[in-house]
Amino acid sequence: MIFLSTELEAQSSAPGMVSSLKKMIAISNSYFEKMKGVNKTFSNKEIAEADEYDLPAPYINSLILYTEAPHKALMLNNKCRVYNLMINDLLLTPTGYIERVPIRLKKGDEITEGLISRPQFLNAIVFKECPELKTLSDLFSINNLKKTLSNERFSKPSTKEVCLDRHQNYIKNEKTAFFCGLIARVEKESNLKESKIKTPRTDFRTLENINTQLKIIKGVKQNLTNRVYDYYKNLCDHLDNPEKFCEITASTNIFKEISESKIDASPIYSICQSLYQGNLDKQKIKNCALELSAKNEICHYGANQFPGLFPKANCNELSMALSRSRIQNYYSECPGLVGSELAVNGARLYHLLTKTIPPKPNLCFLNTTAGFTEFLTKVNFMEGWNNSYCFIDPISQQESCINSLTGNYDASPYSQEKSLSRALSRTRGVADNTKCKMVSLEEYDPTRLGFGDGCIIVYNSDNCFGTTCQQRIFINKKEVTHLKKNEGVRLEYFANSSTRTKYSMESMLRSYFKKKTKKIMNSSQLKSFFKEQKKGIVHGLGCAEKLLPHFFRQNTIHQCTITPFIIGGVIEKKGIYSLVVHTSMDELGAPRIIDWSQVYQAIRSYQNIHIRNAWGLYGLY
Amino acid sequence: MLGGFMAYIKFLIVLFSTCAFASLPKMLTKIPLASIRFISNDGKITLYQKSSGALALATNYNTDDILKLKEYTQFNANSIIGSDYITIEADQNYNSHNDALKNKDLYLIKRKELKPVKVGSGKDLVLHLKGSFYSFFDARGKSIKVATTKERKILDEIRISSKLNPYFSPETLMIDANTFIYTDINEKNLSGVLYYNRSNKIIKPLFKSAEDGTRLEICLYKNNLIIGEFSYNGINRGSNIYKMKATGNIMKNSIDRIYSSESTDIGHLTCSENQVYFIKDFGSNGPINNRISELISLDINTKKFRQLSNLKKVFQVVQMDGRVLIPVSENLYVVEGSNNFKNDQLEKENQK
Repeated sequence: MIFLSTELEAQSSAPGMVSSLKKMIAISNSYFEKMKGVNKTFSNKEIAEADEYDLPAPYINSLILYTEAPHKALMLNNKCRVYNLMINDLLLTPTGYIERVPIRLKKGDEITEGLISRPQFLNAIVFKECPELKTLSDLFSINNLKKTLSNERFSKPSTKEVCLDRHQNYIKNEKTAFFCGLIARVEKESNLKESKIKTPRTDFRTLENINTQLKIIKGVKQNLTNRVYDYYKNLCDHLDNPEKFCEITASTNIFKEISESKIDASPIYSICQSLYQGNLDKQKIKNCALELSAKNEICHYGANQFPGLFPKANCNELSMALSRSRIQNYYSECPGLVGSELAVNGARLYHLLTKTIPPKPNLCFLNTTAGFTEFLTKVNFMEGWNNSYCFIDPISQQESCINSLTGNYDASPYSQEKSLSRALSRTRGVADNTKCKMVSLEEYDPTRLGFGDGCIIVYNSDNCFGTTCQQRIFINKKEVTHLKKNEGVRLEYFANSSTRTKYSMESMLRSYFKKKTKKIMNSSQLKSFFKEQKKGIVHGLGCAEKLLPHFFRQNTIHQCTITPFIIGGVIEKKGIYSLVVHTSMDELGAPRIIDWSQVYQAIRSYQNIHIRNAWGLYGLY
Repeated sequence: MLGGFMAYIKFLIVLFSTCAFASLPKMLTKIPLASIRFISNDGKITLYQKSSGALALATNYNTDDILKLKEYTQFNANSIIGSDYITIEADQNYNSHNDALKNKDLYLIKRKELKPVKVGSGKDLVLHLKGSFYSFFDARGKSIKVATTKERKILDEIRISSKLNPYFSPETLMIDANTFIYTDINEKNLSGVLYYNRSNKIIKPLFKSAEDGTRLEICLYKNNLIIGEFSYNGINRGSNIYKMKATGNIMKNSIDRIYSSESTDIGHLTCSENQVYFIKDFGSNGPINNRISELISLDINTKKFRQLSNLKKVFQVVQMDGRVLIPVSENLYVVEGSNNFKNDQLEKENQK
């Protein structure tokens, strides 16, 4: 008869508050040290014939001590729940995973202590005492895993309260340990692969064991999508921290959702186009989304083809911002090449309110300028667009101007070649359907074939923007000098003086789309607006020096670079607010998360120098 | 584990650095502060703008328009200690043409004459070497132009290479009449401080960031070139400040790190006659990017820093003719120099 634990039992009979942690560890280590010398094992028959059995107290204490904190939350002072963790390899001892279990058998007056193997313990004791665990083990076996997972429903909790409630249910649910077991198994993969490399090729037994485990992991991975894996990884890591679980659940990784085709890929299109040169097919987008979800810094640099404020936010921030933003119709654009932040924001709001995604043009800024001029045409205020070719009309002998875009855009009546040929037909008798080829200064070579006859617009690619472009025009090699080019935008975002109130960007948007407006003065009003107006849009004006202080430096006391922006959403923590801000200098798909007080200072600084002290934050609804 | 250790180190740094801020005085003015564009250090010259598009000079009980442009023109003005000149930037389409890269009309006025002279079109007009030189940035043409205030003729034009960020503006300074220093970003997104020799027109790199995603700032403090290396928000490269002697052959001078931190400081390195300042990040309590930032002064010899403000949200620091000011919403807090308050009680009584 072996009474291994008698002495130790006395020492560890009052764990927790009474025993210090150090003492518990010492007892536990001492117990496991002594266990090494135990040779007694039990057969299934001996177990079946025993009157009673139990697990030694120091052993149970050591399980509590060494099992990872999140998994301990599933024990719930219930024997079957502890066994559940053992089934899923989530219980740990000072020597690691459980392979053999110490047990005390009582038959008549005799008590015997010895060891049984883990499978023996499960079949002879656990599944008999807790039959529901046997059913669950079968459900989560590799053969049934696919079917079991397909019956599970995964949805993002709608509110924090729902999430906390759900977390509580997970703790009570016996399936949770099985999901955590799957996650823990997958996490062992890299260690196993490493062990495989280090194991001598002659050690067949170890290699076979590793290969079997890797095969099981492969099977598990095949049945776990990234989304399900991430969801349960978060849960299993935070079983003891519901707040953290809900915080991470709320911050969905939008890139993973895109990679699994759960949501539209348009927000990442331009970043991916910079990373993966050439056309993007479905697979490239998927690969790109996976890359963005794995490499936090990669999002900073997707900018070459779509210049905007650089560097952009990191992938974590970008993912959070995109997942919280109301903007849905993302399209490729290049705010840094437009030359008017007002036109960028105006075009965005126009596309947003008409729910349109403009087609990809040959020059990236045309999405903005063509959309902006389309809106100005609809509200009958093209005088807000100053870009035009002007000439002295041969008949009236007065100056006449024809509005024009920079660049050719077939869908627009202001496409540069159309406007230019109209101006030339009225002044030089050139056919009004003349096509004008646009070539950069670097490409232009008048001695080469193709650059001789016809109309050619030669532009300086280093100084060519959507609203202003350094360029020269040649007709049959002869430079056109009689046309005067006006440039820029002439429109106020919010009304400046009473006489022009009707023709501000904000008032025209409001009147054309028959919207109401609400002044937003503080963060509570902003939060209420988003809550009450599910389709409302918040937009405003502020100083870049306060809105983006890492990028813009203030050199004089009232320097203020006017920056229009759209607020896509609000993020709240402990009553403090950060906002998802789509500034007109950032690409539409690259919003930033900016502190409310920073946004407020930006608006307040602008108001301070505004002629009429106009406030710059409004909700359109 | 490392993160926790570093947080502890940060805590110690904050604990052992001097923390002796008092509430900063606000700038006081007789004319509404929002209209004022410049007040000289001695308080004798106050320039303010009118909605009519005029920049006016306020003297005792009198005002004179010194520059009249289009209605609603937005003016900015500044100067440096020891300079006879004041710089003016005028944006005649400020409200109707929002363009961050727009070139403005640039003027210089002599303090004694107060007659504006147009000197070019661009932005970031800066005086160098006590006002004997000036430079400005042509944001569209991507070049820095350098001239003397005496001749007002462009003598040097330096092309910058930054293409990745269209909104980039270089920082500039002059050590002597031959040595022009400026910042730039290359095609690999690495920032550099470049040395331009005016006599032979040769450009050489003086300092280069080891990692991408940082921005460099420069200023001159008591014959030392101070270089600040700060990260953009969300890029965790930390912050560093270096000093090097700005005398002799600067290319051969050694560089010494005088400040290093893991935090993403806003920076805006500023050298006055008496101090080196920058804006330091003090962490967050709220949601993402909700940061506390305060103005700091740094002793370049002892490497100790001192918190000067307790405003929680300091984003900018401005020098105006020797004063060092923090603009927060509609207020200007005075860090160095007088707050312009003059007790005119006696004057009023005499008038009675």
